[in-house]
Amino acid sequence: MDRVDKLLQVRHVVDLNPHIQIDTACCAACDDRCLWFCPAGCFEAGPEGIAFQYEGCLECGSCRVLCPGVSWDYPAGGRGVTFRFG
Amino acid sequence: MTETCDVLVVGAGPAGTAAALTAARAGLNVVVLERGEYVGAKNLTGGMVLTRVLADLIPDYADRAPLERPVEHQRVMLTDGPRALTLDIGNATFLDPPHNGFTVLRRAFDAWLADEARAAGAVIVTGAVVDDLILERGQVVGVRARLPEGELRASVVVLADGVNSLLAQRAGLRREHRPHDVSLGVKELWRLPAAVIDQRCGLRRGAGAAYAVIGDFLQGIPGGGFLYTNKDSLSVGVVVSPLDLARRQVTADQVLEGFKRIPEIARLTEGGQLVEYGAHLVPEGGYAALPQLSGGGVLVAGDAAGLVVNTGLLLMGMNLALDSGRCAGQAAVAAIRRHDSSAAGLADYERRLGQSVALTAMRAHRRAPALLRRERLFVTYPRLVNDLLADLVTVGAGPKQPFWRLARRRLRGKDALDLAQDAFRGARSL
Repeated sequence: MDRVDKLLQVRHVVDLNPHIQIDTACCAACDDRCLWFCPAGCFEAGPEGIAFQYEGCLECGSCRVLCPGVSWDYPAGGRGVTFRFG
Repeated sequence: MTETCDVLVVGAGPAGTAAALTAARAGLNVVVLERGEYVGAKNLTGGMVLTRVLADLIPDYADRAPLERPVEHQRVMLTDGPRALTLDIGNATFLDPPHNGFTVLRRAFDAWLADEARAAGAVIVTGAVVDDLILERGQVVGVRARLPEGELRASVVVLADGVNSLLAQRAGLRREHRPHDVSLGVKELWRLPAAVIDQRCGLRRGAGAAYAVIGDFLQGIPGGGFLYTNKDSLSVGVVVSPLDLARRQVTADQVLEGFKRIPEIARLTEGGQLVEYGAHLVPEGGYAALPQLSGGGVLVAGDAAGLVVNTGLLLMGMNLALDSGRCAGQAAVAAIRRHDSSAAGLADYERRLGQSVALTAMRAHRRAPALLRRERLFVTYPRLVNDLLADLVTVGAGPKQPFWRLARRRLRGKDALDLAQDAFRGARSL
């Protein structure tokens, strides 16, 4: 089963303000680890470097710990990933 | 306008709720702020909650809590390709009180626990993000929340805001996790009829099993696979080092797919329906990575304090969260009664914790984190064991040799010193 199909099973209440910002200045010196550690596939390698989208984020915090370019905050109250079973 | 209470808890997981419950029962004015849409919305487990502390907190929990199955069988599986050795640690007494552990799903379990705290008088506010702590003369005196009230003041603030505790960092109590001190858990929930689960897992009706699995599916990445039986679903996942995922250039999901392809796992989930996917970090730095646990006006509990034990067979967090939350609640009550919530007044928390299940378990397994970063543990040994046992149950070409001779051949080329060292370290840390 493809990860994209799995991620469709996750309930999100999208916050219109991104809770994660990335500064791609650090990408040049990096091993593109975000492509592998992010369980939601929020980071993608594009023609202009790493592209990031926060909408499918599972709020695990891996990027917070492993990516020096990330500024990470919680989404607005009640927004973001919302597990139905956990 | 500023609201005031005795104890303000950030986070309505097991740690925060246990603290709230304890303080509310003592008659204090308690407010819990939870950022999720509902209690449990941000929480994820494998998983099994051990009953020891839960029973202390709520003696009749078994009659009322939304538990899935009492775990009768703990199965350790060593796999290599299609081969699997399963060690079944069965104990039928675990089906009766005092039990040992129950599988749970966190939305239902955490919501129930929060209702217990509400019934004791705590106020639980959901959808409330806490952005910062209010400090006066080095003492935490409240929080700034994304609420109309804005500021909430309290004699004691309990930080139970989970593995990504931004507040414990702001309070200067902990530094950022080091990358090798965290593990990434990814989990799928598969719906299956209860009778099918009973049959496939060889369980009497309603009894539960917990599987902890290591083998070559991990591709050399420190971690493990797990499978827990719920009433009518299976929790299936892996916990792996995110740093090593990047080194090996694989995703946690690819490791999980490999785990599910092991024939012994594939037969359990076959025909099920995927109903949820999730990911969560686990603070696995152990005793050596513990932060400062208290300060002026503030206590840290649960995942926010890094209170997780990985014994290699069992990843224990919820039990430690409940226990540390209870200790935090007790320390807050004692401090408030003495009108002293300074750092000295709250230092009692660490004394209580020092005698608790939580910290004694952390100390007992303090050597495990270093051991569990060794790659050969996850590939070499499962392969070796399966090779040895295959020799026992198969007949190949040529004359059959006695087992000891085959075993000696298998062990040739393995560094005897490594083996002996790992065995010794394993015995000491588990």
